Amino acid sequence: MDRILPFTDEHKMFREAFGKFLDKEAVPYYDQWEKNGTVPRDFFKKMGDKGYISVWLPEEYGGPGGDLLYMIIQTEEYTARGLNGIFVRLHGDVIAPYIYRIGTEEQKKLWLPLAAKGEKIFAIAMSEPDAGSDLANLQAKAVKDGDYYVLNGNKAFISNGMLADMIIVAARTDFEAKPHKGVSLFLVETANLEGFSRKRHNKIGLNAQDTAELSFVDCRIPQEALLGEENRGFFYLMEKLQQERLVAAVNALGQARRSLDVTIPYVQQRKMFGKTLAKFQNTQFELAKMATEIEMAQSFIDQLTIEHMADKTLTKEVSMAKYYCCELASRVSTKCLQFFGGYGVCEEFPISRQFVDTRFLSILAGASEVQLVIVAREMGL
Amino acid sequence: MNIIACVKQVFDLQQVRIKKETREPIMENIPLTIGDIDKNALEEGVRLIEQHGGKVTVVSAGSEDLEETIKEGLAMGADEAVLVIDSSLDSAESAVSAVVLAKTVKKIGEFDLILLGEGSSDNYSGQVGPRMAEILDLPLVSFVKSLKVDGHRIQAVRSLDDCMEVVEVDMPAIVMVMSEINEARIPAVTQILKAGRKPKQVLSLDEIEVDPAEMETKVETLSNLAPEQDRKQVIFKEDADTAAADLFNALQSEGFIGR
Repeated sequence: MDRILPFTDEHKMFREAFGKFLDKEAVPYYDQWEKNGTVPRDFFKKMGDKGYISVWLPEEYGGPGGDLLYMIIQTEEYTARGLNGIFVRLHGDVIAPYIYRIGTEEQKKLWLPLAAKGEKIFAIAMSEPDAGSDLANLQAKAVKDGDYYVLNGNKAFISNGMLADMIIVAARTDFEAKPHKGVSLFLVETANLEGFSRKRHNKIGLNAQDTAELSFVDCRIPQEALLGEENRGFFYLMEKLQQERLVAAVNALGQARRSLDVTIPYVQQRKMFGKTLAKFQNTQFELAKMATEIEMAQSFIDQLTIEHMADKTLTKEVSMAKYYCCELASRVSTKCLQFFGGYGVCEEFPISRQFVDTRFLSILAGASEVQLVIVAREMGL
Repeated sequence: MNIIACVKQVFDLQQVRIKKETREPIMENIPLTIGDIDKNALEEGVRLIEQHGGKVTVVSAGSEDLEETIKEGLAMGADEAVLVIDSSLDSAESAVSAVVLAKTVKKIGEFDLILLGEGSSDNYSGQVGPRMAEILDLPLVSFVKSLKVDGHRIQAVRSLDDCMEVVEVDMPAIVMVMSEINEARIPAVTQILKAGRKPKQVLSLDEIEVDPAEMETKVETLSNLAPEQDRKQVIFKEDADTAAADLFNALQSEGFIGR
């Protein structure tokens, strides 16, 4: 069945080129990156040299000016190779757009070309030890002091946190206002920042992706680093969630497909009781059910992508997609691992990585429960 | 410096499957691409231009799909494309390709260097370069593994069976490169996006004044089958020591070990 997304020759060429790039520059090294707990800076630079970071970014800021489909293709090519922990996308496709959308011209001219070249790495710090999806309850605070803001607070589960040269930090600036009306965003440079420290989280999976806990103690941030208007941070963070959730769903669906793709050849060659696993009806039914769910989800995602590109509001639908695809990816990898028996829990087998990596999906970028709350609210419940 | 890189549109051979029963290749839905060594030729042209200035024109002849396929060459850094499109050029034999490409080159007019791969990815006859050299009355340097340009002269290292040969020749000339001459680049996004906007001239056979007699097919394909794998399927079922000895003897009698 052909996909309904309007892929052009350029998109197809890009898919092939980007796939080759990953095969050359990421796949041979990924196991080591998993051991190291980080993707090297050099990889960001190699991506930047090819224009593979922030493909959407207009030429005037150093990008190539592509559409959303390039981001979709990149996500699918990463996941098809099990490169689940490369969060260049977070840097270039989630964080850089904040600067593009609400930054001053000076901020855009300074940061966006650096992002696109992979010369500076970005992170965004919203979650706190006591506030994840509950953004209105942020405890970090920034108090104006002359030409500076003094930033205090702790942030947790920050992707790219160890590598980040610049972190968009969400902090409370108005303590009298209602919780969601008193949050501001800051472009915080980490180099030589007094009072700043960070510590790596040791996780059960997604190990190549560095995740950190950040601490800001009396950090003096120049007032020029305020991103957008003061006290509008909460709204800025909410505005781009549609695309972020859609791409999170694309990512999850790609990971589900990868789990199935590594399992099918295995069951075709693994023999039990004189015949291959693939010949058992249980195997056939389970894999057929998973393939069906994946293809049904793909159709929904592709339709959402087209409507999102046409600027439609899809609050309920993207939450459905994020919830469903993330749960699906976790379910598929769990069921697929079972076919591998003892081998499934050995690191040499790619399904083991799929199993641990997909477990993150229903937690990050808005947990499943948050998505269901939104869906229910949109249903008028 | 004006460089012409001649490339051929071929099936993506990595995606061709073989029908088990008949050993015939399954060609349905196989995407078209530019041949691998042709990409090396184009890459060499782009590198020379990056060093010395000028432009690279990618030239190709083929069926209607060529306009799409050639975008890859433009994304790799060619400045423009000149294409001859005709359904009869789909899987044209070397002699026909050489005539069409030579006449296209004549139509383009000014050039210093023509680059080709040493053979196409599909038929690998290696004939198109020498035939073009004959038609255009140009010097030909084949099996080139490295290439330098100095003014109007090129210096090429030829990789021959038992030696390397260094030759110098004045331009214009034709150079056929080997795959080890370079690693063809993976196109950058900006180049991919620009590829569709680069100049592309599409010519018909009439426009390059090809005589129908020159298009006459002289090669007949009798069969196109995957090589047969003759497996003996001998199984040694005895205990490990006996089986190992039997396996050794069998391999020895076939002349694979212990002569």
